[in-house]
Amino acid sequence: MDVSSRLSHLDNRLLAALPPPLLERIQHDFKQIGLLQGHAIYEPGDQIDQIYFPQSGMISLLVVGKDGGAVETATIGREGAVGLHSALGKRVSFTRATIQISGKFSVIRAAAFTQSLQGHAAVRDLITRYTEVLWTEAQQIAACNAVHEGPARLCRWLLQTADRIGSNQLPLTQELISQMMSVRRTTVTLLAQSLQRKGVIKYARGHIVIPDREHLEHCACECYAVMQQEKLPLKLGVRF
Amino acid sequence: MPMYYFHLRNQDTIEDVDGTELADTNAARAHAEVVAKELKFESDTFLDEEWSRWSMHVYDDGGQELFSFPMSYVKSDGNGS
Repeated sequence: MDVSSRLSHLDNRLLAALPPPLLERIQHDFKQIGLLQGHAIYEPGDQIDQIYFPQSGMISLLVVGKDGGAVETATIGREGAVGLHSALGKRVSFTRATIQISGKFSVIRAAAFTQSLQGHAAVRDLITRYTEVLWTEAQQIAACNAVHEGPARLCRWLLQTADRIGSNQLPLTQELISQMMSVRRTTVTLLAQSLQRKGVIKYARGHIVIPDREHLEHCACECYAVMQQEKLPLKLGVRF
Repeated sequence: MPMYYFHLRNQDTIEDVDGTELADTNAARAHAEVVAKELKFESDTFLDEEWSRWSMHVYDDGGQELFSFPMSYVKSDGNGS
């Protein structure tokens, strides 16, 4: 059996944090779907009608400029959800959300999720706490992009991505990474080659492997440690 | 469009294994300068090595070196974006 076919709603940390009786009750409202890299789930201005909880893949949020250029501002994997705030009422997407890494996703209609929240203060609270975590990450990333060097940011991003998908094998093309970092593809190739030379990553077209996380952490800026998904909620005094 | 390759060298070579399609040598020169700026960012170090010791060498598809310049020639420009 394919490993990914064994994944379930509980592979998403937020869903796993829901009160079990509630999850049991709303389970039939969820679809489990596979989505491929490049698939856009919302465009800026779209009504958020579905909530996506990654089980294995990663979703990227992109701010789209007037010239059509898109810059990644956040990534969401199995630690989170996209569109979750629409459970609090009708919401419109500010960013484009696309599948950055193919995978399995638990998807629910926003209206169905809202309905299931009636009388569940704990879930409302979970949404608020998750929003706090996202807001903190956005602040850290804004600072990181302003002051840290490309190589250190690339290392930070690779580590975060590995955490999001729960794997040290990252199916990423240089093109995707160059988009994410807003630099030329050649720059990504040279950075990746120099990291490979140091044994920090293994790089082949369309695929990056992290053989030694500790070494990569040493090369990343401090922002990785600050935002480490396992620890950030606790730092904020937030529990899931 | 022809392919161009942008290698970095001091005693070692960091190879541009992927290459980039560009219109002509002028476009390759402009591309090389942008990449050099993006690689330098604010400081002159990359993973404990000084960029100033490196130079960029640009090759065409036939393996012919077209031009090169020292990385120290490129002015740093914010975070390269």
